[in-house]
Amino acid sequence: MSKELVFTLDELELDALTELVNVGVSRAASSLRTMVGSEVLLAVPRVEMMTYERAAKLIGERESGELVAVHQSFNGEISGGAMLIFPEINSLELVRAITGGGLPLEDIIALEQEALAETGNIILNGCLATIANMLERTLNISLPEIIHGSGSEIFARSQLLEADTAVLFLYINFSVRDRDIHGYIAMLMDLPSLTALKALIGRMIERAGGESTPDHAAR
Amino acid sequence: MQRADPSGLEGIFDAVDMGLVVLDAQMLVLEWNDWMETATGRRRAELRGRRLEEIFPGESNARLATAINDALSAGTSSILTHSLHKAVFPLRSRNGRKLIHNVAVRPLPGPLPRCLVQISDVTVAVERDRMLRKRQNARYDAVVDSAPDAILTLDTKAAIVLANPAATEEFGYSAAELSGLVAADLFDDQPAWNEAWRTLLSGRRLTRPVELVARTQDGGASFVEMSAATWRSDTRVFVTAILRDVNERHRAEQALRQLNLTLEKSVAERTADRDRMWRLSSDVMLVARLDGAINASNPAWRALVGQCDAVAEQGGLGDSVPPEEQSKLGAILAELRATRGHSQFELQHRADDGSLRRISWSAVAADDLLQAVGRDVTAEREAEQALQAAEEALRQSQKMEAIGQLTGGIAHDFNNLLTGISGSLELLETRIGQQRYGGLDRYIGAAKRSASRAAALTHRLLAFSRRQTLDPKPTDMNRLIRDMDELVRRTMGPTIEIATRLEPALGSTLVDSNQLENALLNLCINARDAMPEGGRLTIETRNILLDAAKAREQDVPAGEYVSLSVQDTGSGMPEDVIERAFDPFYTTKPLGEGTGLGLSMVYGFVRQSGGQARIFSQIGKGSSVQLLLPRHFGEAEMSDHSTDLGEFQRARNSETVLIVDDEPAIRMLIGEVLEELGYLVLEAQDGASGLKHLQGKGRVDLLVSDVGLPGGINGRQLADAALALWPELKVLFITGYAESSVVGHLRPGMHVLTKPFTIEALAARIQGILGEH
Repeated sequence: MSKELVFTLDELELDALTELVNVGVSRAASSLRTMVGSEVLLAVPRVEMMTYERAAKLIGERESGELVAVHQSFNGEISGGAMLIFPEINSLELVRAITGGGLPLEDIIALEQEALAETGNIILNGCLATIANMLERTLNISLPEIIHGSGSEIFARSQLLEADTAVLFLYINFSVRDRDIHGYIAMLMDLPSLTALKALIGRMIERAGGESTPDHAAR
Repeated sequence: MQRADPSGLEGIFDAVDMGLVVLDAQMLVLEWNDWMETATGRRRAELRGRRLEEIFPGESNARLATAINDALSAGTSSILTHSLHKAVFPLRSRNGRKLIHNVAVRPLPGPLPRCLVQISDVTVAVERDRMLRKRQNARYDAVVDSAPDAILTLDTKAAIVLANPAATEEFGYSAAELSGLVAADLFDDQPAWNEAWRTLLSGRRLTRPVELVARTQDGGASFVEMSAATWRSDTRVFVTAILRDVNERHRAEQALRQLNLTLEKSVAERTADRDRMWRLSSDVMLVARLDGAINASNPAWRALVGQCDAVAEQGGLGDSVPPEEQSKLGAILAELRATRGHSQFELQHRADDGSLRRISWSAVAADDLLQAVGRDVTAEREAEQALQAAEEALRQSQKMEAIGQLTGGIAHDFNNLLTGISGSLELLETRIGQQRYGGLDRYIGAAKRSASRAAALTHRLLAFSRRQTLDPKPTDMNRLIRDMDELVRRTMGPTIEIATRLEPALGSTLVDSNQLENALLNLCINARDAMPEGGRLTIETRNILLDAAKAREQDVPAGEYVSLSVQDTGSGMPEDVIERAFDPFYTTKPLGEGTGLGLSMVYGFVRQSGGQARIFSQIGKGSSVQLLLPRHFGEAEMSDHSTDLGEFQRARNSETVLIVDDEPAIRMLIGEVLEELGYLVLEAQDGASGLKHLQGKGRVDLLVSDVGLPGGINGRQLADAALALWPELKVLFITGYAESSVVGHLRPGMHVLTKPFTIEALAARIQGILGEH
């Protein structure tokens, strides 16, 4: 590995973050459900922390073709970029699922970029708004942008890469109209942002009550 | 705007070509720009301080609410696009057209949380896109929707993104059901599909349609032929597959395959049948080159010639043929090469055990090859030969039996005659010894009669053997019958009535009248014997004309004939007797009473005379024998035999006669007769001594010679030599039977007299010959 993470979240912090993100995507799923008029399930089973190189490599290993990503940047107490990434071949399926499948292929292709952007916007906003709310901080979050390319290309284009950029890597599963589509959420943050996030998560854990603290202390 | 903007940019808010709405932390409207006023028809003055839900009742959008809320509380930016929202707000253009729009919700920086709602008009772009798509789709639909082939568009995971109506028909799914299905699941033939799919994804083309078995929704199978190509839309890759229904063709192919299979089977069966025939046939079969080299032979051939398979295949047809038949084989092969035809022949072959086998071959030359089938006919040929030998032996024994019968008959007749002659001579001797000369002529007459009967007997024998010398003369048959009337009546006796029905205009016929008399008498005697109790004898003559068909039936040339028939009212003859009646020595009379030569002699005489003899008879109804003799167009003459020696003229100029005969009694007899008549007689016992007389000085007027002579020169040769010396010389051959081959063609001046003859006949003949000039 070329770079070691100089900063990590411990298991408890990762668990708390996983829970936080799942609350966020649940909100997004609820939003989508209302909009699509059909059952939408979103779940984030796992959160890992890694370097962006590792993240790019991981996606490259798991996905053979081109990728598509919806990217939004955020500024505030923590800064960085959030990306919803999935294989390009899944994107059309996702759009078809969201739009209901009755549209001709050419129409779907025409709508694909916007529909994808909005869908990604809903999911990413769900996560980011939840994090901001839980942290009781306001973040300035940009409008979504579509990026195509390989794993490393997507990360490079996010224009947030610093030497110490780390990635919070989230696996996300969509289930819309009986179609299961898998994807990834990557949150790229520099060291100060991660430090702030870690502190914020710590405070959230404290607020959550004493029951978990002794467990944590006992380790 | 409520407050002055020092930058002087406040005019921009209303100048921008997009809708802008500013909401405060309580989501109440703070600002509403000109664009919004135009698009909604609502003045900002009346809207300030109101919530969007109030402004647009019934247009509540949960997503918009969330977006605004998140923007205010968490600082998020959101987009609401026309792709997922038909219309976030009810907006219209100045001329009342619905505006298609996208909405962005974002937080505004500042000490108080505020939120900006931006509305952008994308109507023109969207409608342009729609129109282009519509135009494209129209073309596309025209082709795809009306195509009889199923057309599927797949993404790179082989999920169906588009299916045409023919595809829904082919697979039995609705378009919605098909959408998203993985194409591989639609086909039974996974390996074929997978290979085709790999080829397509790797960017290569399918060089030929792939045949697949489609599984329809109801579980049925359908044969399709897939052609497919990849295409790109932006960065995306699709595969469009065209599936042609080939069930019809498949069924036809299946039927054809079945037919071929059946055909192959029947050909195989027939081949097997032929092969069995080839292997099991006891006939030998060969395929050979036209030079006789064997290409293939069946086991029967190899068993015959006793060669192992390999040797037999290399050998030639002629290898087993013995040397004496090689040239025959060569000729047969040469002919087959020349004619390319069919040939049947027999050849001997040396078999394995050394024996010679006779094979009857049937060979055909075709396509430069000889196909030959042969059958071993050795046993048949041996049997045929044995049969022939047996028949020959039978004939020989029949002949011996016949000769026995003949000798018995002849001995009986001759003994009777000899008794008559020798008895008469003894009586003569006795009377002369006693010098009693009266009444001697009675005994002489008896002896002469016996002798003449003996002569008639030998004549009959010769007639039977058809070696009698006939002396045919034009004969009036009616006259001959009338002349014999007395004789016939006496022979028949008083119990038999005799009737004659003679054709008055009967033609003459060229026959030996003596023989005809004999024949008539013979027939009459047979008729008498058939009527021991008496009856009626009818002698009939007729003219008969035989046309070609009848003549053929009778085995004679067509033309006019004279018929003589003798009919009795006697016992008749059964069929088998009729059939054999003309056979020599066949007789129904007891042994010793007849020679069996009667009818046979008649038959021989008639046939020799160019006619035919037939018998008509039924048991109990009598018999009829008909003699057909060719009609002669000439004058009939009747020889007169009643000549007395004393009536002959004596020789006038002491003419000389040379007698050549190896029998002294005959020389003496003839010599005495001729001297009696005044001739000068010379005698010789063989041809050589006869020739010496002829070469002498004295003139010879007549040569009387036996035909068969001892000493190397026969009568004819002697006569020829004599004529060379004496061209005027007359010749009379006297012969016991017609040695026609020896006598040959009679030259002018040559005559024949058949032994035995009477002295009178001899004298008359000699006088006749010498009186010619």
